[in-house]
Amino acid sequence: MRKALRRQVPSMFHRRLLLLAAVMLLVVAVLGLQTARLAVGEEHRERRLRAENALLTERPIPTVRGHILDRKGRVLAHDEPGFAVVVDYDVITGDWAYNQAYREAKRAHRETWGEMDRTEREALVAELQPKYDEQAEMLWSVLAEVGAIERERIEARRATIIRRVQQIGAGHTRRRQARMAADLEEPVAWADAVESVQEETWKHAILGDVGDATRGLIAGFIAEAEAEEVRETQRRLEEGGDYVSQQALKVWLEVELLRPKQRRYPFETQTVVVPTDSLPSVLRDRFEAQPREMAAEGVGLHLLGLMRDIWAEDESRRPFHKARDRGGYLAGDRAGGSGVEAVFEDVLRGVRGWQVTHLDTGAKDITAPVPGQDVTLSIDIALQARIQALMDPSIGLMQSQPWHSREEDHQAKVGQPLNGAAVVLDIETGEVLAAVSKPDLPLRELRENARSIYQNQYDQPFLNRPFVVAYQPGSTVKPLVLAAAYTDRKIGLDEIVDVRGYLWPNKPTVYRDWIFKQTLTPFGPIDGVFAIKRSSNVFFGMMQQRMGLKRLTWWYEQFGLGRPTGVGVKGESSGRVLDRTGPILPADEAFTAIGQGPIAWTVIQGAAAHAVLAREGWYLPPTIVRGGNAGRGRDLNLSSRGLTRVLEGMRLSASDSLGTTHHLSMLNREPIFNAEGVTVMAKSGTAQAAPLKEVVRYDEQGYPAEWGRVLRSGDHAWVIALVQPDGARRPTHVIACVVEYAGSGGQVAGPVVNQIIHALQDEGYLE
Amino acid sequence: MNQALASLRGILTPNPGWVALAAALLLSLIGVMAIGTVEPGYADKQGELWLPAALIVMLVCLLPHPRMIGLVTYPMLVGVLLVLVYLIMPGAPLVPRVNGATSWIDIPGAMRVQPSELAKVVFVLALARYLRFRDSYRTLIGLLVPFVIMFIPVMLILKQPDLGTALLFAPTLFAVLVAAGAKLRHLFSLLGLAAAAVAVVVAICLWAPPSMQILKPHQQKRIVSMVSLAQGDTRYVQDEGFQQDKAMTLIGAGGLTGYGAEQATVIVTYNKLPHDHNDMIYAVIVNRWGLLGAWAVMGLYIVLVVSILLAAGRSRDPFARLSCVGFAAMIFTQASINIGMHLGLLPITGITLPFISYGGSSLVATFIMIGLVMNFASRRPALLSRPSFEFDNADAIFQ
Repeated sequence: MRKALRRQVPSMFHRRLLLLAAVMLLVVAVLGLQTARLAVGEEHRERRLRAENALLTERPIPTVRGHILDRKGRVLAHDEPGFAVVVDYDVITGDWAYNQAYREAKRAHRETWGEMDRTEREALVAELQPKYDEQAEMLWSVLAEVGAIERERIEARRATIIRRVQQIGAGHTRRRQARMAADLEEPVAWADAVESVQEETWKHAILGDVGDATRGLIAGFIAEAEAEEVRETQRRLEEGGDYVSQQALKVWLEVELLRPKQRRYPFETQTVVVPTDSLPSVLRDRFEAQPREMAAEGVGLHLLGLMRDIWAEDESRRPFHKARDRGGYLAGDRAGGSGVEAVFEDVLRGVRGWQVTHLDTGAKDITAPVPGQDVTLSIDIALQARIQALMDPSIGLMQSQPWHSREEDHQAKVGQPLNGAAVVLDIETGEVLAAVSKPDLPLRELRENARSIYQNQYDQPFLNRPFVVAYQPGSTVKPLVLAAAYTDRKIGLDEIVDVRGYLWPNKPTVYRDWIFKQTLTPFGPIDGVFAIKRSSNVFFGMMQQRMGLKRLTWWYEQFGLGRPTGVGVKGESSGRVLDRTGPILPADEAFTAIGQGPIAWTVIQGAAAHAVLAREGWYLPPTIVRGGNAGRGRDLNLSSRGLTRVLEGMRLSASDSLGTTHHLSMLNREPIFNAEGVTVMAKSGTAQAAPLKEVVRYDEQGYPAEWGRVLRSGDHAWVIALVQPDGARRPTHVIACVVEYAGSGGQVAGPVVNQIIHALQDEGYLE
Repeated sequence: MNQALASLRGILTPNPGWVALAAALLLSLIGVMAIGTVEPGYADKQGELWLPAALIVMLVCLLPHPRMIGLVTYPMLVGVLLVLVYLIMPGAPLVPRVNGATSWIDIPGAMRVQPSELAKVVFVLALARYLRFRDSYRTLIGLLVPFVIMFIPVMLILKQPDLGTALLFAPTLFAVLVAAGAKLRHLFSLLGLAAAAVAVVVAICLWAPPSMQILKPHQQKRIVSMVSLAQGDTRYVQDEGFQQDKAMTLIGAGGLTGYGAEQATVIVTYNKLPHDHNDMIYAVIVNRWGLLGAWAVMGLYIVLVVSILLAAGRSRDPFARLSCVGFAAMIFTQASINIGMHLGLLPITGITLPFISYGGSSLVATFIMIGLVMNFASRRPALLSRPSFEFDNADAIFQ
């Protein structure tokens, strides 16, 4: 080969030239092939996509969260149709002035810019920057003035935005660092993983909810800045390289007026007129029977819930993806934090639109946002407001009164506000018309210092009591026990039972009737109707003995106890019933039938269970959604004749002078219920309750770990009433009310329920 | 007079120099168009000022006899070295620091020139002058002087610092020594040593702790980012690897036929490729004209270099021969390094694409080379010129 080459090319110099040429061709071949590798096939497609993506900027278009409406179509929650003033992130951080100065310096020294070193460039930038700093300063001052807020609040808002975006950036970097480390199978330094986040290119709200006048002023500044920009562009074209920017309003080009996502609750504060002529006499006299006008605050807020900033869990549950799910969560989003807002989050939320701007042409591809769906509740917000108002301690019903019990039995200091809950259920549909939790959520505190609300252990105003707190029901379960006993034929419809004063012969002081306790007189031979009317503990203890605890527990489960009702409220309690598969403690024997021992229910569970009695044995789960119960429910196959007797017992309890829910004992036995045109069937209950103690320490999971002093003690007062308008075939509404640590059920909760009946009538129900 | 006419007749006679000039002109026109894609103002200046100026200088280079050029080579080398020394003197007047380097001299009221570009030409001439009648470099020790001739300007240029320009000298020296008949085993041994040294430096850069690093931090990062990019690791694309990644992206995006002028302007502009009108112009070319355009440019470089080598092959004058080889090697090395760094094969360094990138000094220097090549190619060989660099068969040339 070598010899052949020598023969062909005898000159060494020429052979060396050929060698050089060959090496050069080889190098060119490598370069050509590498260019081809990049410019064809998959590599080409991927890089073309990347290169063309640089021509696009994308941004989400906010959607509108769905409305929450009440049963009469009133808007209870909606996104505010006002305007917010948003400002580019660079202006907020202060980088805008530097960037503008840099651009202007570069433009003005275009010919020599590439030849300058960093120091020279920075000197030129520094000369130009002050005028842009002044513009930014002017912007903040103007926004403070037209927004009528202190400049310090603007600065605080800027700091919050910067902090939030930095947190987002840090989170992004952390995830990217982990991803890269996993891909590369080696640790990756933080600095290597840092990447800018979208939020750094967005505009952020500095002023929210601005009025029309402010909006007009700001729009004027923006319009003037745009006009100035046009004039300036013209001048730049005319003057060429010697041009120096004279724009004084340029910073306003970085400002926009946007429709914000302020969530509003128009009925959260209402003025309500509370009639006082049907109140217990002492209260009626105090108000001279004149209607009392008062502001009900936080109306329905426990139910509706509130919005909150999103958590990492939200982003994990439904991450944002611009193609697959634009309704997913992005940093800075808000989500329903409690109540209906949280339960119906995915329904209300809606899906963002998407805007892709082609930087080269200015064309915009817009995918319109899909608004969130509306949710119509079964709540009547006017009724809710009325009940909330009449349960205000200033009316006196939810305040410890001397007439609530005898002095020696008094459980709360007179005048002390009482907490509790009330629910009104439409029996036909199972829909909740009103659900009130006391105390109310204090609006101002809620918005300015929500933490203090959650730290208030004494009143626990954050609890949505009708749904999330399970109370021992006391005697209010007795109608259910009797209905079950009749159905199981553990007692004949007309059977007379001889009731001693106490249940267990050898323990006369442990399980006894209230009348025996007071007068040492037993009820003697009584039937089921009498037992309900007079609320005989011993009778129902005997029923439990006949049925057995496990069977009774099974019946309780049929009435909906022991599991959440699915009413549509976040964090609903399941209440408590005995574990039928576990052992039975001696102490539980017989007590369950009188609502003590291993049994607890929420107010909504109590109302739903009593509605079964009025619905002739049909269980319908309660719902707070209008029309939410279509096709639901089940027949418990209760004895209809037995149910008639149960309801008769409840009617007598409320209307017979010997009934336990009939009169206010300390107020000259004046009737508890005084509404015209309705028949009330009620059962009171006085449930022994564990005292409320202060939690002094929580464990790592946030559960109470150590308790301190007793904050409240006593019995919970219950009344559950079925209300039947005259002429109706059966009761149409059930009202359940509990007042915590208040004493006798009928005396305390009875007048509250009576006022709720009046409120129902005033709102056009019970007709 | 007769001599001048003879020179003119020689120049007008078709020879490989004309082919080289044609290729250079075509590359320059492509350059003007490519620069116009991203910086129309610079393209105007390149086309209307630097290219005519370079051609004028080239014409001047056609005139002197090679013998005359050889005579002034060493004084020119001394002069250039003095200028390079001046550049690195602290606080030297008329020497601005541009991007951290003192590579330029401001000529008041005229222009800013880069002496290292002239040094490239003079180095080749000096090397050729030194080697033309010698055979000492066929021993290992005899290679010392040529290496010294290379090291002096290289060290001065590195001191500016201008690594890109300095990198061109060693491959050029090797090419000239190969052509001059140095023993290949010596050269390959030295090349092996150099490759090993580079490997050690890269290995230290990639794996050694910071205290053991030899290169400057920015040089380390460029190597690390290049290796990372080649492995598909994108962690440096926002900083050290930004320029290379953008270049590769724009090259890949160009596809087979490119975007065309209008769209390429938009794509390159919005991708914010740094130095798009000078060092990174190859990315603009491929983005605008695609793979076919890239291959066309490479083809022109091959035509240019091969025609210069042909001129060397046709010449009998050893000084002209080696000068032509040196110029071909210098231009080819510069183009290869520039394209290689675009393609992720070499780390990014400040180096222009000959004839194409924007810049007066670079363009003038390369056209000086073309002018000299044309000058050498147009000379008729002396009737009794002896064979040069034919160490294994001195008679072969006469057969």
